[in-house]
Amino acid sequence: MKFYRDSIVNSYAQIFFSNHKWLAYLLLLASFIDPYLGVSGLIAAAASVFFAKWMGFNQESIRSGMYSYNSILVGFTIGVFYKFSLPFFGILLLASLLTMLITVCLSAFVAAYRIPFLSLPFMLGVWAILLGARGFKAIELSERGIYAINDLYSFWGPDMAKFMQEMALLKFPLLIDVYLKSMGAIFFQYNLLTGILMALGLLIYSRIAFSLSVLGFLTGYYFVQFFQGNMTELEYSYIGFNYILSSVALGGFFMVPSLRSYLLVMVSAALIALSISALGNFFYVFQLPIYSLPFSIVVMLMIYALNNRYSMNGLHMVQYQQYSPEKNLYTYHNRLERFKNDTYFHIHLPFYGEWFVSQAHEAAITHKDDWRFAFDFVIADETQKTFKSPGEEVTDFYCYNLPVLSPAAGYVVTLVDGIVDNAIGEVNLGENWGNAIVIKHSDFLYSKITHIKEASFKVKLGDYVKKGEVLASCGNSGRSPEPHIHFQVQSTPFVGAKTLKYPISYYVSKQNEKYTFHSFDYPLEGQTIFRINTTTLLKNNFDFVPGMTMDFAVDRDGEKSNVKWEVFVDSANQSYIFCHETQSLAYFVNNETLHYFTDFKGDKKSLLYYFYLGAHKILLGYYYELEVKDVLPIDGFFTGFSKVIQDFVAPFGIYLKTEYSAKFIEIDDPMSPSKIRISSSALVKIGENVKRKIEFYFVLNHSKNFTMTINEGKICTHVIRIA
Amino acid sequence: MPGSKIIFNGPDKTETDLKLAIENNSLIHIDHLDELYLIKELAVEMNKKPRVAIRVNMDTGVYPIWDRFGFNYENGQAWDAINKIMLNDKMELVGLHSHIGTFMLSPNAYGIAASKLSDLALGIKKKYKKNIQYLDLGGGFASKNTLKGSYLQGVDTSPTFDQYAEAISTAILNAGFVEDELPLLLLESGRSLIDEAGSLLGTVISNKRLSDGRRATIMDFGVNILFTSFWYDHKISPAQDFSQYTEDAVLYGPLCMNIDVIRENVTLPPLKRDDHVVVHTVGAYNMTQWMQFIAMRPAVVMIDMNEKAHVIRNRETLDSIESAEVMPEYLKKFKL
Repeated sequence: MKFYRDSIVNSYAQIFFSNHKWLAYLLLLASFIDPYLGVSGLIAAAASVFFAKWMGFNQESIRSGMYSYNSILVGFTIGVFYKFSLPFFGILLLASLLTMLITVCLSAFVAAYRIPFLSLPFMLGVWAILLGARGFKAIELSERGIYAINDLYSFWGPDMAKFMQEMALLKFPLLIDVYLKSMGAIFFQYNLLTGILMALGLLIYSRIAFSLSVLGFLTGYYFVQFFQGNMTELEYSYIGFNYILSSVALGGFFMVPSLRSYLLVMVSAALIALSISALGNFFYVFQLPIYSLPFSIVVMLMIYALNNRYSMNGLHMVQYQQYSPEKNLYTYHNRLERFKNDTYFHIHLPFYGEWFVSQAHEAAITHKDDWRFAFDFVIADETQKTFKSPGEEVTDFYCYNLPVLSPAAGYVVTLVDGIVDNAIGEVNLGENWGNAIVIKHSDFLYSKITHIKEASFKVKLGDYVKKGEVLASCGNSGRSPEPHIHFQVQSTPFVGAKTLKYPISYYVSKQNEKYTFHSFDYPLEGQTIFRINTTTLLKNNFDFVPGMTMDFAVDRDGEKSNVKWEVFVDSANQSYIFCHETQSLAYFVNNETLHYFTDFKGDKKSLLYYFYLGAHKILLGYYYELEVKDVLPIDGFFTGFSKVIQDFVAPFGIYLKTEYSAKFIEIDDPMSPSKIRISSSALVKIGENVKRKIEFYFVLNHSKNFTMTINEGKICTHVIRIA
Repeated sequence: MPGSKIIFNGPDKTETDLKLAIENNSLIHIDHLDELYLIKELAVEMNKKPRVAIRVNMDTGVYPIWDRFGFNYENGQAWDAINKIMLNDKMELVGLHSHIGTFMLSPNAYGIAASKLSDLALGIKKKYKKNIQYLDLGGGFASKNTLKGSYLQGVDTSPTFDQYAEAISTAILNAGFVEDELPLLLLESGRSLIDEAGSLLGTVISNKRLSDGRRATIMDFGVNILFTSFWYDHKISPAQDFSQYTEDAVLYGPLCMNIDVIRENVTLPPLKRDDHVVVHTVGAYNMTQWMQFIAMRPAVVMIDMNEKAHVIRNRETLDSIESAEVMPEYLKKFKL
């Protein structure tokens, strides 16, 4: 039963590309202003859901309402066109089935071209019925559209009829009046009340969608007026909603809302005006209505064209649909801020311990032109000297003969050996790279280490090496006046290949005994840097393996409760923690260096949400007072009035800034720790004005029974993992 | 110093000592089975899980083998102790320790010790899925002193730190640890770090000729102060201008005992009464083993990085000896 309810309700929301419950119920309510239409729509939705389930189509697709929203629109059309009678219901059921089948076929067909089917099934279904019904006399045309008030009177009684009449007399400015009526026209109801209800639903669902609908409509309206188009048609028939639907679809649903998407909406509105005229004239010959055909065609055209751009700059397609322009936008910005520089393949530093960057990218000495994205590493003492006195022999240099490690897994594809180390100060320009090794990590991704010590290779050509495996020793061969490691990423296997700009995945830099964490960053000249050594205690505490359960005792200012979580992994191999009680889930990634959360769905008051915030990004190696920073998705974290304003202006700029930071504050024993304390905080602010702030303290120990303390305002919550 | 940063090592650990160590979460290096059993009992009694390591002795190609300390690697005693700890679950095995000898002139011996300890650590990982957190290779690293009977000078024969480091780290890196599970390396490099930092300043008391005609010089310090002269030929240099003529001499200390010889044979320019000398490389083992025999112990002075001198131990007085003495009541009335 719950399945049918969800599927039917979602069908209504789907008309506005949403899965918002409130919007769905308001739309359902609005459809019942004209009860005949309400009933036909509801029957159509229920029938298609039933048929789809019965025929065994994808359950999740049915539940999302994707297969049934076109049927609702067909249901409305039939409700408007024909008189209620037994044959009427027959044809209604048949039309629902047909539309659902068209939807299924079309969705499979257009998916290959990465375009949505929109309300094309609705048009095909409507034409099939309208043309087909001409041959059946039992299906009579209705006259209800003409005497709408009569219907209201007979169904809802005199009060409602009077109310509607008074509504009709309300003098709204023309534009608002037409906008609201066009909105109502999506449901074939040409009255203000339906329009108001629907517009209200749209506003509650999404501020961006609402503003887009207004923008699209106004553009269309003024375009028609300027080109002296058919204003009567726009003002008095079922056509204005094309502007509304297309602007919501293009401006906020398929595209990430932005200034450019708003401009796109204005351009499309003009195109729609043109295609309304074109399609109208064409289909007039067949005496067929075009309803939402212009919207479907223009939006499909735009999306197909935009998908085939060579460069995706500027207008961004929504990659992961969240059924809300706001969510799409905030998620997009959040991902951009968090993972902008992330690379799929991780490259690490090729050495143990603390090294000094003597030359970084685009440096003055040798990292120039085609070889500008390379690094030179040496070891320096506190006076920045790289050797101990007298520094006349290679062996006086701190880094000489130290292990060189594989930056990542791959095959050894090039190996040069047999070049002797230079005397200090001399260079071998003939064999300038010296002894070298190139490792192939994937197609067009190679890393190269050169100036290696002669005959120090521990691997041979063709070997598969793992990340961190010892390859050879640091030497002084080639164009190298003193021992150092030259490291670069390139896209070909050749020793002299040009360099590729590629970040080092994770490393820590150290200055004045202060540690700084870097992720997907480029070491700078003069920095002292090292690979991250993970701490077993941290790794154990954040080792959430699928199937594992966690129990917590919660004490919220004396109010006690218990919470249970379970860890799952979905078919896309994404791990998440699931809270059965609140049906919430928090997606996370653990890549051996970092634990971080990527997404949260469900109850924003649940303990899981607080854990998602507090442990948003945790480095799995302890470095005293090292701080890891991140940003949080604003959606759901802050819900004040300024958030509503933010929603409206979000496509043009985000002024509500979120900050996350986690800091290691205590370790009982660095060698074999049994207790580590971490403090973290999540906050949102406008300028310097903090609007919401939560502080967290974690105490981790060997038994994995960590504790978490949450402080927000005066409320303090203590959480202990008990199993 | 927090107790958790102290390693408690040695053959003699009393029950009180062990309790204190367990209470403070110190690392205990177990030397023998009796100690292991005692710690196990104390762990139950105190309801704590002590962090322990075992000391392992082994054949590193250097003789004598120091097999009086710890559990032997080759005959399986070490594994026996490891199994006793791991299966019992009353202690947490966090490290492995060895200390293969003293004044080791062969870096290779450390390489062998490191690979044998690594082998144990990897075996523990394989058998018990337990990561050993540190390997303590102990000490025994040679300073630049010259051992008695050595043909060449210590500066020429003692390995450099680089040679020791090369031998140990190569052995560990080649042992087969996964990168993330490489153990921490601990070294007890006390003597080799501190020996060269200490010098002894002394003064000539007298010169004389021995019966066979050899020159003998009596100094104001002897084996009472410079205990290490029992096993080192300390380098000694005059501290003022001297002539180009030298003569073989015997250097004696001030004690009225025949064994008080600092150097049996040293080539020095002739020194006269009140001349000063510097004895080099005396930083290790002297201040821990010197004694108040005949003469009081001298002051210790530290010269800091800015060449400023600080007294860090006062010259002893009669009171230093008497303050700890207790006179029985009836002897107090005794009149000389």
